Amino acid sequence: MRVKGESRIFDYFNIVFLGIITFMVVYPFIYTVSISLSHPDSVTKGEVILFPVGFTFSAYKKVIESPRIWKAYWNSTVYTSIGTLVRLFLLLLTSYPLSRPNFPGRNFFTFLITFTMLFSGGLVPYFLVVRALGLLNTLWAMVIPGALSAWNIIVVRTFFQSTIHPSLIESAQIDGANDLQILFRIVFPLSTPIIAVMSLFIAIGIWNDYFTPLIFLTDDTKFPLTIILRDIVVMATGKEFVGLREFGAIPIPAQSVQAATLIISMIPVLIAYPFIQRYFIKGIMIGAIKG
Amino acid sequence: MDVKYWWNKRFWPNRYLFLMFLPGLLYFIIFCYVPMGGIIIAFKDYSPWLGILRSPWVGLKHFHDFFSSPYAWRLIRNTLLLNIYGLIFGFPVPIIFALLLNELNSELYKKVIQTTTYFPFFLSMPIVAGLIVQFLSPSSGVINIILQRWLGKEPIYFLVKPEYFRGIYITSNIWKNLGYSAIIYLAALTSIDPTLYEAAIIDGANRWQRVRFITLPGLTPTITILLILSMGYILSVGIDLILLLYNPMTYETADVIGTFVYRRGLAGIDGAPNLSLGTAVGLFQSVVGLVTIIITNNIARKISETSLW
Repeated sequence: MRVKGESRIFDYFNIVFLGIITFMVVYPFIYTVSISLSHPDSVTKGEVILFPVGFTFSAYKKVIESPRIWKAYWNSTVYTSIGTLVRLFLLLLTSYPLSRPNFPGRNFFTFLITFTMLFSGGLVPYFLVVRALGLLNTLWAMVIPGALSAWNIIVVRTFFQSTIHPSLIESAQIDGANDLQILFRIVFPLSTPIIAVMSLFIAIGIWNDYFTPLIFLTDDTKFPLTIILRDIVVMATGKEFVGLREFGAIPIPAQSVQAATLIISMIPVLIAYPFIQRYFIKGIMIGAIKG
Repeated sequence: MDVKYWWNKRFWPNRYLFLMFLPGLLYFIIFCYVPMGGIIIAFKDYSPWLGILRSPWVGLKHFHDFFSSPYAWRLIRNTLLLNIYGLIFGFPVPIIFALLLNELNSELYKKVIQTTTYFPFFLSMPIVAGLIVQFLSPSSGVINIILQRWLGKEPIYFLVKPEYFRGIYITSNIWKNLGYSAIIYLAALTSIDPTLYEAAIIDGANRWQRVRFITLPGLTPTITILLILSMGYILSVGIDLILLLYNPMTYETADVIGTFVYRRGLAGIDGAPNLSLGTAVGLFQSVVGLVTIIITNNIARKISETSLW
């Protein structure tokens, strides 16, 4: 808030300081883009600090030729789309009854769900349950375990309670609608903001999930992008590095390939980000104010 | 209240609500409450051939094994230190950042900064780990280039030196979550009544006094809730980044309870997986989490008006 006569020195300092912080957040991306586009010799000699030196796409060519990355891209897309549909539907179905005051056992069920935020059986028994259900190494291992979170249920329930007026539900009941009809015809159409926010949260959660595929998937052809990324950009193992030195006329250092892989894997998030970030801000607001 | 009454008056009129709720209820029973029952294998010598029920009882053997082993203290210390450093450094940074953002006069500049700093939150941990590897590479990473070229030092192999691990972990997490956490605080700031500021200005309060007496008290409930929640996770840290970056050379500072449970209980990376030991250590972690969250919540309820329940 601006007040006349107050010193502007702080404002100038603040603008510069926040600019520096923002640059520090962005710098790793600039650096990685520059590495991926620089001439391999410049990368090896350590000449790249801010901008690309000796522009070339050779590292990208090497990455694009790898079938493993495209397979992983495809797997991630399948897991994310199916997983988001299933998890969102389950979330809405579970949250709605808890928002209705006349739902018998509502307090007990709410407690049952919130308690899972405070205590859990731990990783090993959880794994044994998933294994006993025969979900290991299937698509469903990426969809069903972790499908519902107590936190999301509370946020959605609170949204229903505060946005959908009870008189609306009562008048629908008088008109002879049952609870299923009320949910699909009245509640869902009025809840598009929370549905958008939740599906984005769920989708990004599955797309970025690293631990679930790590423990539940063992088959190389089923791995999502996160697991393949670990092999390439962190472990520097994998076929992408075989014959790296012989590739083309110039040898490509591992770092260039890693940087190019990182950038390629970030593209979907980069493209989606401008469209989705405001929904996320909205979502956090809903959770923070009402949660 | 007999069964017939309950069925006719309570269940049947709400049958569709129960129907909707059933899949979710089953989910929580199967994936949360059945594993809680599975805790009994912490007190047994679990063998896959015998199954959970027929495996022999061993009492507290696995707890005893764990606490008498040399790595128990190391794991507890590492977990606590990562959390405490995370709280000391990671907790105030987004609050200060949000307060500074809130003081900006230009809405556009504020929006640009917010949108930019929020971005890393959307990246997966392997990407974050990949960026760290790029940055710290001993041969051509930018940090070592600066060390060598400008400061004339020898290159440092950051990722195999235990003394650097905590710093790397804390810094990366602050980097990733700064924008996200700041938005939570900024959201809380929007609920502060603007007339408070107007009244304060008329009363002659300067900028610092307005932050001190209006903005900060307005943030206190949010800060309290987030602090209580983080206390509940005092014995669990986000292990994804650790699993990606650690190696036997950095176990001294990087190995935490969560990674140990995964490595020894499931993956069997050093030796055959010991599911009972993993369950026992996981149970220890869960119980401490439950106790600390109850204690902090009670303290918070006594000293302030905000608490989880």
